[in-house]
Amino acid sequence: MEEVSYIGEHIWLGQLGHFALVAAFVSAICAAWAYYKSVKGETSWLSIGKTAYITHGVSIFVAIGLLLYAMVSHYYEYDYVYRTVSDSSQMKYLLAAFWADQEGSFLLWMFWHVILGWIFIAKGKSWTAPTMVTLALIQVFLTSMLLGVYIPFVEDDFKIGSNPFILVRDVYLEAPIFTRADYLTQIEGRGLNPLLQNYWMTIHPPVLFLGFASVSIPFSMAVAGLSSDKHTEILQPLLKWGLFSAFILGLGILMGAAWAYEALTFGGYWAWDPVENTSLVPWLILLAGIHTNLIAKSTKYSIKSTYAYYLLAFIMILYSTFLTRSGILGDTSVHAFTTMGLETQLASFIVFFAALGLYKYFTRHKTIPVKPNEENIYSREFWMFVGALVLFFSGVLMTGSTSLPVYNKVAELFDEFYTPLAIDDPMVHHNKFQIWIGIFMGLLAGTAILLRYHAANWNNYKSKFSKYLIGVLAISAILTFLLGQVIDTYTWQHYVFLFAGLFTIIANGTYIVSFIKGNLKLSGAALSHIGFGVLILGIMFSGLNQKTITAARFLQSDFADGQAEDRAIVLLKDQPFPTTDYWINYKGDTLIDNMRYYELAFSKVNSDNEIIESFTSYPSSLYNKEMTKIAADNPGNNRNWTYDVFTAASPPGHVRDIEELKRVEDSLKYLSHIVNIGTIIDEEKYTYEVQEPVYNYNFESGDHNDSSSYDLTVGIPIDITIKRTGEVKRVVPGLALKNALVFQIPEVIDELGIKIKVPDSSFSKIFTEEDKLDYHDIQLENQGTANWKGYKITLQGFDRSGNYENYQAQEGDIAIAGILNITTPEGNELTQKPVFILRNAQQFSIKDYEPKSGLHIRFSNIDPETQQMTFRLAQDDRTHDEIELLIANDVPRSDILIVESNIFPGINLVWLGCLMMLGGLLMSLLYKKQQTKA
Amino acid sequence: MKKTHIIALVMMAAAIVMLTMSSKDLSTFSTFAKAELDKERVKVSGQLSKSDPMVYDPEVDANFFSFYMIDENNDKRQVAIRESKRYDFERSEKIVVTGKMNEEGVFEASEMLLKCPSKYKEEELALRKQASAVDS
Repeated sequence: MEEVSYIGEHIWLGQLGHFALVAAFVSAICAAWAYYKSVKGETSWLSIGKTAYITHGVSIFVAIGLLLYAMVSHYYEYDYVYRTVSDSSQMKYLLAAFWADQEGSFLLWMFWHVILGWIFIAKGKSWTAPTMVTLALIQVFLTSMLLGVYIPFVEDDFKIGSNPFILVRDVYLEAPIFTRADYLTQIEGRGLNPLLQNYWMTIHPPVLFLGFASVSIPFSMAVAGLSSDKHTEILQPLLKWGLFSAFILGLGILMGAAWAYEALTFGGYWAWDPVENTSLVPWLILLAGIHTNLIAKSTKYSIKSTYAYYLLAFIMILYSTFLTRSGILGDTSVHAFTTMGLETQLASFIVFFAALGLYKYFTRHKTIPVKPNEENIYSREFWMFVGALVLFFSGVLMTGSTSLPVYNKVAELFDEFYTPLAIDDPMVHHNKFQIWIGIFMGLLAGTAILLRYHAANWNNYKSKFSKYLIGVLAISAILTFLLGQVIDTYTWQHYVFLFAGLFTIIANGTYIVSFIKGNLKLSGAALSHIGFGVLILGIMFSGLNQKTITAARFLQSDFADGQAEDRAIVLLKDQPFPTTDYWINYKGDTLIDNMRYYELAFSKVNSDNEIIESFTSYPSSLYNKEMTKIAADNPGNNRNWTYDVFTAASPPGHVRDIEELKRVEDSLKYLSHIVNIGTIIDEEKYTYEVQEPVYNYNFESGDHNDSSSYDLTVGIPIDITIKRTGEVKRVVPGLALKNALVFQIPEVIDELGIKIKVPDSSFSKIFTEEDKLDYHDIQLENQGTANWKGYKITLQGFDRSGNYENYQAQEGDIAIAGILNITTPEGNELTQKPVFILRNAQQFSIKDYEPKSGLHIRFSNIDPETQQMTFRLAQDDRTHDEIELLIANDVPRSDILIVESNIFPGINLVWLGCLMMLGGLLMSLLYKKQQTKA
Repeated sequence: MKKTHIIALVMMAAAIVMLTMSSKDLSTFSTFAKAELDKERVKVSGQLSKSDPMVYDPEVDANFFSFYMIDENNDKRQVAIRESKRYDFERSEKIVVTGKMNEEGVFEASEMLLKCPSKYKEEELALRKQASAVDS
């Protein structure tokens, strides 16, 4: 292909951006090396490390800034901009678009590592240098993901990283458009997927990635701690960062759950999706680490486990990254990115840091002090340790099942006839196991908190402990029984689960009230544990008591072995429909931008037919950019203190998609009727009576209510009589003219299934085309008057402004409009302005058309000598005889909605429980901070 | 051996047992032909036959949808499911239905999983389409 010199590209930006990324890569290597040297005792390297890491951070910021600038400026020559931005993109979704794809989200992740690293450097404590070695190494790997360097002479052009500044023409190499030098004037970005144009997309990723980034700190510190001999000194700062990390990562996961609940998947906050699981696993491992860290700090037991858990948490973050970004999950997850061709690189990322962690752990664990005697079985640390194991165990089970696509891949390598396996129903599979995890965690969190470290003074404490434990068990049992009446507890496992939740709430509540006397500084752990119990209650209520209120009430179907339940109903506009709980009335819809909102009024009545509860739900449909098709449906969500109602609504196929509408239109069987005014068409169920046509009629039906934008509209009123009831309905199908194009304005009577249209050919009965007009010339001088066909026409003067309708000035034009005052035979006054033009010594005229009377008026000549103006007049032939009407029956209704509505009771307990868990972590963190300061 | 170590070992053993025992939660895929023979509840994966009619008429029954699906042995059968038609149905690249064959040879599904091209990404060909539109 010939070299084309393209017009309008901003190549400098990409080159600078790529340079910044290379600089970031090199400076990260420098930082890691310099910090390593300084740890080895060459303290002069310390300031070099610091400078290198600051340079690294600045380079990352420059790259981010440039990419954002390219996005704001709509530089579509860049593939990333092309993928995420379009002309109609809103500024408020700029950040969402920035991290919507692989490269941007890597930059976000690195951004947080830079910030966290800088905080570390600024604080300058003794752990800074050894921690920064590992953190800088992590950045080396992350930056390499964006290098976009091809290694030559290797098979398939082995690629290191994917450069976010790659040009769109380097991606779609063979696309014909790039033979044009001005291709940039022809392309527009695809823009952010409408599903992601959402405030969650703005806030969820930064929090989640801060969570991801923050897990690097306990990892790096654990490596630093293992390398040193100060295994007990590091416990305090480790705990602080562990708590911070667990708080932020937990918040990120919770936001994801809230988003899933609200929008992405209909009606669920957790779907055991691989990506959800692999972000939860590091969090669980972190929690295990925090628990053993607390044990270690108080008793010097479990230091090794603390290191191990913190190391593992980060490895699991990398594993999660691998699963999400390598494309290995394929279509098993909604979160998976498309493959970027970096599988090997991502895998080596895990292998390197797993090896580093293992190497450090096994070469150094002998230096960790071990206590000679083991934990007392009546001590808090013993049961806390078991609790940490349960958390770890939960992570193992989750990872085991989630890695199925990885086993499949590996098995396929060895056996080409291997058929991939899949989990039948992830919800059932995971719930079955994790319910036991929940039970153990509840019981352990309730018991351990009542015990003391080292089982201090156990002989005296024994009776107090037993008394409290028995009390808590008894209250929990009674409450379980009582709540079991309200919740549909299906199995005995559910009862045990409920009991465990209540047990941990009451035990930890007792701890706060009776043991630490409400001392808030000490109650972080207990608060988190109570939160966990509340979460269990929320899971029980919302999970087991949820129901589909639109489900058929009495239907027992033997379809597919009775496994199917009819869940959807069809609502007709303005016809309230009774469901199990509510009457639902579809009242109408509103279009705002490219969202159509349906108004569904819910009301509950008591036996006396009085409304005891009512609310309105607004499910919506999101149209594509061209407004030709509905891209997605969003459920309406009605939030209450004790329950949520989710309502999904979708219009029928021919309303969703213009293509489908065309198909339906083509399948309609229109019968042609040649009619005159007063004609009555008699059909089986209806009669149609044709009325006198109306001109400049304001169409009300459909989306044609802007009739002012047409040059002429005409409606043919038709009275339809429904024979069965005698009811008469008037509809007005018609035609409209705009810029010499004829538009049909059909009428659809949804409830009768009738569609009536007037074919274009009938337009000639109403509007006479130019070549068929019979023009009559009249001569007028200024202020002169003439009569024609009962019209009195007076030339009132001239308009020389040059601003005439349908006129575009050209150089050398002489253009003048005559102002005609016309009195119609009915006595109406009209003012018309035909235009006369002299262009290049040729005469032209611009017709003025008066739709109501059907007058066509031209200003055809000026005689400079006699001062006589020639006007030409003609009139539409509107005899209205033999107009054609097309009538179709059995037309699918457009005013219906398919609706499914679900009720989730107690969902707020889920959110409350999660927030309490996070609140407890935050309280512990703040308290720990205070302690360090003191 | 310490008690905590014993507990840890027991748990690891339990994890292995649980994960291996859960093999019954896993399945490979059956075919229409096998489903016809066994009359048992199975999973069949395949593709939508776009040339055959799809039936969904909410005015008649909002909870009935039927279409033709070609399984992995290129065997085309009618599939019926009692649910409303999903909006992204035509976009699906792959369909997995769980159910059984009825007497009339129609596969009655109680569950259907659609595998759509990634939700996070518009069609890869947008640019090329745009480009050819400009050229024509």
